[in-house]
Amino acid sequence: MRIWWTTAYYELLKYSRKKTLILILIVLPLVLIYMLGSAFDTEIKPAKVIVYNADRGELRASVDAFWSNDEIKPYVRFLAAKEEGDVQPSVTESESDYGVVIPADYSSRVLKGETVSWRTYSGRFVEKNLAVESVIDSYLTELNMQMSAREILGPEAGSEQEGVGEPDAAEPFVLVGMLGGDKNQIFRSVSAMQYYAATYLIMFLLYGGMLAAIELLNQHKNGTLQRMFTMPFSFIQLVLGIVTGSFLVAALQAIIIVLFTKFVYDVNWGTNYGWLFLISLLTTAVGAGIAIIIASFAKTVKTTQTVFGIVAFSMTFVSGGMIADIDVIIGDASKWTVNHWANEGLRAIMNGSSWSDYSQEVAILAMIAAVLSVFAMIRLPKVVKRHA
Amino acid sequence: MSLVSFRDVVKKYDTKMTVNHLSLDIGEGEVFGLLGPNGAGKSTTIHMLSGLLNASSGDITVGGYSIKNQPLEVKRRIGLVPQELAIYETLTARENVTFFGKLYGLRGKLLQERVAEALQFVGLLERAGDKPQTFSGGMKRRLNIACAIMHRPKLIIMDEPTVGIDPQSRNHILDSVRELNKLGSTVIYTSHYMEEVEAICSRVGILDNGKLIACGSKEELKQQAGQEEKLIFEIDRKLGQAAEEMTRHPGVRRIDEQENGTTVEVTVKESPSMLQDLLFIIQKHGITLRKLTRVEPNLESMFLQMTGRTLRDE
Repeated sequence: MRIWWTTAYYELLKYSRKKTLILILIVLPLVLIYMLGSAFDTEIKPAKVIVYNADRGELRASVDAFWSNDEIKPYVRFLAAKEEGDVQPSVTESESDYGVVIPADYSSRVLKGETVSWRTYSGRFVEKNLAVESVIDSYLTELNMQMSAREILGPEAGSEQEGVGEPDAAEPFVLVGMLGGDKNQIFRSVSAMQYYAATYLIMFLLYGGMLAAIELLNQHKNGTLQRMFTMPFSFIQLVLGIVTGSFLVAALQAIIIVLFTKFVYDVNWGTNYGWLFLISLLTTAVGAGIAIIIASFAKTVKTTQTVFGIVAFSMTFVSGGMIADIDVIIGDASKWTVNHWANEGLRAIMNGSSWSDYSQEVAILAMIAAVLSVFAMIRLPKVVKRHA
Repeated sequence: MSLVSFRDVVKKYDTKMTVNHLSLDIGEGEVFGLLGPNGAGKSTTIHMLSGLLNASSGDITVGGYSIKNQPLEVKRRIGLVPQELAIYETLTARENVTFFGKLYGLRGKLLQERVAEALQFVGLLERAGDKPQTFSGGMKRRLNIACAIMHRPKLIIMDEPTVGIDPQSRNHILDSVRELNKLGSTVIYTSHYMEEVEAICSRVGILDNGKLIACGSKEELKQQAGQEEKLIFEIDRKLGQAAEEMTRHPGVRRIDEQENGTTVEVTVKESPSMLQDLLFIIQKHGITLRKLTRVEPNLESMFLQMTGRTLRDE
């Protein structure tokens, strides 16, 4: 155990000094997740809307109720202005995304059956402007329709007096859709950011696993492995220490990616971090297994990296890592990749599904990891042979 | 008393015999030089001794322990300085030595003392906090040595430790070998550089095609090789009649006259006993001697005579 942990600790120390490696294994996935997640994200973040209600009439309460309605909360976050003059500067200075001033004669005009409108100030985000305008338009349109009906058909056609000026809140104020289909059809049950966070965590964990094989080949090449073979301990402990070092790097990689995306990109990873860790561990084991098998044939670092890169990239691509709805083109081929089972497991965890819903994916992933580990153990002596 | 014993050791790759029935004893406290051209079997021999390779037959013992049956006991007693720079570029000099010290089971204060001692020994204590990336080739070689000696092994095996380094570092390494030997370590030293082996080794073994063709001190090797010496006389005129008289002497092998006959190279079997006779002949013929040079055989010439090749032949 002493040799094992000493070797693993120094492996970790050596990895920590390799800045390029850290950049590739940790910073690159975070950048890719952000770029792809943002590009395909259809979710509209709530717009901060500053509202000054100058109306002191009988409809003031219903207007205030509208702004605090749960239906519009996904699209609008209400901020009350103290004075009318606060609204425009707040939008101009980007403190708010949108500004609304409700005129003082609003109630009286509505009750007289006149057409009403609010003064609005658009912000710099087009999609947020559209969302808020949709909310306001749908509210005012329905209100104006009620008023028109009341004007034409008489008071009995509309509603009772107390219902005047209160549009039917049962109807949704905004419906968000995507040209070409609903977002869930492409990214299934998760958001684009969640989808790519899972995909690139898995892809880069595979690369993390590859470090074990690369380190063994490098140490064999520069002679440190041979030096250690002449020392008085079992070389199995030594090799396990080197492999453990790469697994520790992968574990740190997973922790940093998950925490960073959770707190900075607001990615919901679900609550079952134990299973998430297990999937990460199994994926790293798969990566290490594949890389050691390749290294046992390739013999050089360069060839191993190239072949492993092709394998990892192909699996990521086929499993939908670059084109989310690739299964439309390739059918069930993605099921032949490791990434598919790991990604499906992670997405189920993100969705808050119970463990029974993703236990099959994890079991398949564990089987793949076990088989590859056995083959890797068989081939390992070819990579760490004692004599140069 | 021998520390290392090779007993009829054979290493075969398919049909090729890389080490051919090697039997050799290396005594405690010796600096033993292992010589041979590329492919002679030096590295294979060293790798078998350090446990990197298994012998096809025969056995090697270190301190009475068999590498075949008690490899860990043997490995506890050796420190290998490999030909490659087996150090980590991303760790500092101190971290490198500390890492290998920990693998040897050293801990705490003892570890710190041994690390400082090893770095001091190779002259790198002041650069202990620097990474080898910033070192010269010679400094890296010295760090390579520090990693192998910090556990104070009884037997230090140095495989071409001075390849590609500056003269200052080479001298430092050679002094280190002498110092290690004084401190009680037995050293096995391989090199292509004859002058290094001549300077530091008490005994030399010459390997050729996997066979130990000669072994002993330099004097013993000279006898084994039947090596001849040369006496170079610079005189005021040609030898003339004196040359014929010299040729008749049973100890003289050959006479070569150069530069109008005023420089004469006389090849003899053993110079000390011959010198008196030759000087007498010169004097008898009225020739004035201006300068006399005695050229002793060196390992390079012995090797050439024994194998028909130079050490640096590929």
